[in-house]
Amino acid sequence: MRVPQQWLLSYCDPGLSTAELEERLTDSGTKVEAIHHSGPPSAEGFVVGLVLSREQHPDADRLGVCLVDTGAAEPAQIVCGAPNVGPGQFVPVAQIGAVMPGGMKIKKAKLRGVESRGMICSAKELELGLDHDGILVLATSPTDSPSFGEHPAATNPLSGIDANKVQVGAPLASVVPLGGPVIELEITPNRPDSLGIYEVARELHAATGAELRPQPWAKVDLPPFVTSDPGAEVPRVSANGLTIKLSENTRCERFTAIVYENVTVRPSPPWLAARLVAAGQRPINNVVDITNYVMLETGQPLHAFDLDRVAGGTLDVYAAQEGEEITTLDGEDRRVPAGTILIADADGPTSVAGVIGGQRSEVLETTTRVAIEVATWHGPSIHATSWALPVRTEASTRNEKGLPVEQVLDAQRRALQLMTELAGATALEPMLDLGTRTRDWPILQLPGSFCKRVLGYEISESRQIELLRAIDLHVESSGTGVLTVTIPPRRRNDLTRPIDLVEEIARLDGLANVPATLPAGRPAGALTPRQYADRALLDLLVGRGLHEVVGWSFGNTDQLDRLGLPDAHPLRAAVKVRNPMSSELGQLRTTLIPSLLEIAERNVARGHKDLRFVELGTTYRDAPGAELPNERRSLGVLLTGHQIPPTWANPEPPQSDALAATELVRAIGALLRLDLEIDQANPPVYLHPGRGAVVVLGDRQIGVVGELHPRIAAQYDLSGPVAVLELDAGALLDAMPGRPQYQPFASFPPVTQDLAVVVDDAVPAKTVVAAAKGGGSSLLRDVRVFDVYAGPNLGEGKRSLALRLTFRAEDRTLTEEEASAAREKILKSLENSVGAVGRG
Amino acid sequence: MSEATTLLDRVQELQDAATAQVAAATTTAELEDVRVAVLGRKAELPNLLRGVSELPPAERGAAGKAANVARGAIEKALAERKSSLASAEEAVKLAADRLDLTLPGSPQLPDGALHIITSTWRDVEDVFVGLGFSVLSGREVETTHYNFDALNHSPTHPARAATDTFYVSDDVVLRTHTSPMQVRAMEQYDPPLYVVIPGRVYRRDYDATHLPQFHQVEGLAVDVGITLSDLKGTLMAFARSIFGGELDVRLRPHFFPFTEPSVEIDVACFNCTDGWIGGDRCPVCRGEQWLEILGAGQVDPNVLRAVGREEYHPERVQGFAFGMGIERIAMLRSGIPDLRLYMENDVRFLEQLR
Repeated sequence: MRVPQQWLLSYCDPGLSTAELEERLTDSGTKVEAIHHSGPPSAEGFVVGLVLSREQHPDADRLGVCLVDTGAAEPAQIVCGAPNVGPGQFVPVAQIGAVMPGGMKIKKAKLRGVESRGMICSAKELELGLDHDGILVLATSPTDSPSFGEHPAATNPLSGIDANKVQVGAPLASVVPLGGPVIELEITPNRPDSLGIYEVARELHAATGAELRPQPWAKVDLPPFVTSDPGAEVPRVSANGLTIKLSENTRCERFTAIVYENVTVRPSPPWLAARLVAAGQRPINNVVDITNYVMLETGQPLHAFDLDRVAGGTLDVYAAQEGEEITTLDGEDRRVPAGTILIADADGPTSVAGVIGGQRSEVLETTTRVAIEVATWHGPSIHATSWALPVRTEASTRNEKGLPVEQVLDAQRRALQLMTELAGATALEPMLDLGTRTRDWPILQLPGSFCKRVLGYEISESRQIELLRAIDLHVESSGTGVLTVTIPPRRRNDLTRPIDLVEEIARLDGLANVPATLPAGRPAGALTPRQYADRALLDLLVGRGLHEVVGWSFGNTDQLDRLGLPDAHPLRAAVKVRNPMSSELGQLRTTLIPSLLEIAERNVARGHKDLRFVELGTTYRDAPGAELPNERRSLGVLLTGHQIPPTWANPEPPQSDALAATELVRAIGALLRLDLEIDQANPPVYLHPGRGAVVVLGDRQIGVVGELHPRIAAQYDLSGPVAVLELDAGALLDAMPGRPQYQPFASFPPVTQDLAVVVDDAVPAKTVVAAAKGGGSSLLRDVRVFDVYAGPNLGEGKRSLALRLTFRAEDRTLTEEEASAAREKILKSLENSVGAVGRG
Repeated sequence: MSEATTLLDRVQELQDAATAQVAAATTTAELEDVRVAVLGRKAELPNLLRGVSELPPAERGAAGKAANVARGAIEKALAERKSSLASAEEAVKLAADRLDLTLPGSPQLPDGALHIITSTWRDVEDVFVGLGFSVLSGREVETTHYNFDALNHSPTHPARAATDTFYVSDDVVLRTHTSPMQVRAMEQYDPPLYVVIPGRVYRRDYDATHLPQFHQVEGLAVDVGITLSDLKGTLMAFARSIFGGELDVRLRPHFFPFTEPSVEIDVACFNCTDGWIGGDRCPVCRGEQWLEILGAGQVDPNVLRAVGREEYHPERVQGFAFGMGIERIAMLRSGIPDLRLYMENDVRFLEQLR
């Protein structure tokens, strides 16, 4: 919220600089977001001038050449383009050297050949309101051909300008406000009261001890009120040509209206317009501006109806039917959801209650009869309407918080005062008032020791009382160590428990007083073995030269289309986001591979060719029937380009391929002490059909590994093999066995023998190794493939695998003869199981 | 002059000659030739020894002994000379076997790196583990119950807006903070509870200072008698460990639905003392002297009640909670100007901030 400093200080002025104000407000909980400036940077050079004459510019139809008495030794010649400028007007003059809002400095100038010494200003140029006719006329002289020298000034009584101060050469700032600092505050959702500048002043008072002046409306008497017959099914009241009906009376807690006659609609006086402009509002006319001004001052929204444009003189508060439409003040045609609280006249909806007025009953310059409505609405309903339309207004942001019913009278009082002063209006008796006029004032019991229990340090009872009273709470000390605290309506929703009072005491006392201690009972902290393993997993891959990346959790169907996944593929079970930032980020990723590919594509485009990426992050799968989708911790790897950097010693190192990825599977299995198998029988559709596999743990598929299908890689502008690996890291970590236990080393030496066998190409190495292990030798301890050979001498579709067999007995040193016998046995077994033929 | 005397003289002559030859040898090969010449089967000295038996018995002892002494002396000289020549020759050979060690080492293995989000995440975890906290993780797609309701958010709290929060369905959202785990942790574990919960969170914002996904670390300490002073002390210890030095922290009143009192915590700028570096505003704090790092407060009694367990009744226990952004801490520590860099995953970025 933008709070003009001068406006704030008119209620409570602690005599501090803007920087000090900022500090006090922020430290006590009303955070200053920024300091702005409204109006000219300085009042220097702005004076009141009297236009003595206006001649037509010789070379420009639209320009006039004025002689202006600015109190100097002789009149200043000023060229002015405003259509309304004329002799006898007292006007604001920016003299040579004055700096306009926005930083333009006034200099001596020639306009179409005619010298001009200064500028006659409009209200808008001074940030004092809108331009209505052109320049701002502060007052008029009795004669329209005044001579140089002293002249009396006359002002419109509704202009808000003191004629006595309008003197030639007087500083302009003595007549109209000329800008100043604007403090932008962050008002937290629990403090709708602080959305009224008077209440910000109360905070300033509590934070500084400076006097808080009485509310400007404190002494305004309201007319007596009339209300509904208490027995009426639909509350209804009529007076002064206005009937109010609450067809919806549960979500409208209170509805008041005062009818005004003899209203003069005109521009607001500069002091009010300047405050609105500084607060970020657009001045429109005095009546509309009064409603905005009073809302900014009290925090209570209010609305003005042109009563002559309220059909039938009836305002009916009701819940909208399906399909109702209204043209709102901003000119938009809006269809409102069923249940929206609307206010209708005899011709239909004329206002969206608590959110935005309707165009039909807008106050115009011709308006003479006005109804000022101040009502209390059910906050969540206003909130829902504001979301649904969607439209956020100053009124809706306040009304949606649920304002106290008592507060409406503050706004009616202040509006009555200003309508009378600034619009010359007559308030008619009585005031129409439906709904709840007051609620209970909550009473809280605050044990004296409670502050210390929560805060950890002592604040004396007398200090607690002083601080609570500073924010207008009524506090009584029982003498038994318990404070009885009565909460005024404006804090009713926020201060409901003793803990809420502790917060008020702590923040007003100053959080700089909080000592720093550590919890006395804190235990020893530690990561779990699973958490250490999670780190080790990433560290392993980083140690092998991979860069960890962080991808988007979001993805899109296009990514899955590119992988060529059929409709029923499990990776299609994506969680959709209803309100994504963009369709590219329309759902949650089911696999890490697309984002790894996109990251690779981007880096290749920037000239990086050798890429090794790993991501360890969450993937998501829709789980129909379950409350929440499945989330799993996934490990994704992408390798492309050289495996290791080319160097002088090895200018052409090998390219990363499927086996570079399966080697990482082996290393991960070794790290986590898990037996990870590669199964090439049914490779995933998006992998190279001859170079893709799934990774299996026990009987469970736990990942995929291999080279991406070249057609898919090409879509990402990646050439050469692109190896990928994706594992369910969460499942791996879950399966990890406990801490390894020491096993004594074998005491008898092993014997190794080599065995080369020729098998069909189609027989996986893994099958041959497994068959060798199952080949019936209890002495066999290990089998390793140490050479693979294929050549014409072996025959079509055949290859040779050389196995290194390690034999060992636990109770004796094996002889070569025993090992050879075992080797023969294994060979026989391989002949039978995998059709192997011994080679040499 | 007896034969024996002559023989002894001859032994001495041979020894002197042999010693001279040994000394004169300049390579181990020459030395081997010398050895063969003076001690080989055809050499004179060994053959002289064989001739001792022909001497009169009274002279044999002295002559034999002299010949053996001479042989021993020659062998010793040979061994010494061999050792000295061999090491000289080795030195020459090794000197010739020179490798230019200023060439790049080989094979060069690639340098990997953790992403700065992960390394910062771990740093934060480690500090809190040192302060007595354990680490939990939680789900990212979360019910509105855990994300808002159980955290005491009013039905109209602005964070619930579809403009701010990603919705999957009416009552399922992408969590907007790591705080839902406060309630889940209290449901699962008994007090005393000292946990931090790092994780990914989501908000509908995307510019240089906001990403729609980012990372937070939640902290929660619930025990008997945990005070706002404990919160300040804990976070001061954290700030000093993460940013270094004896930095001060500042508490500012704020509002969060799930803490009461609520505070925002600033840490004194680690890069400057008065907001200025030389004649320029400090680039880290932009002249503010303070860095806003997190929101915190005492756990609101309504949150403890939402757990629904007697063990967490607000009359029995109380605690503090805090939440901080990992990207923000990394940004401050490493001078990263635009959060979007985190998501680019440009290799140059990844290598710079390893």
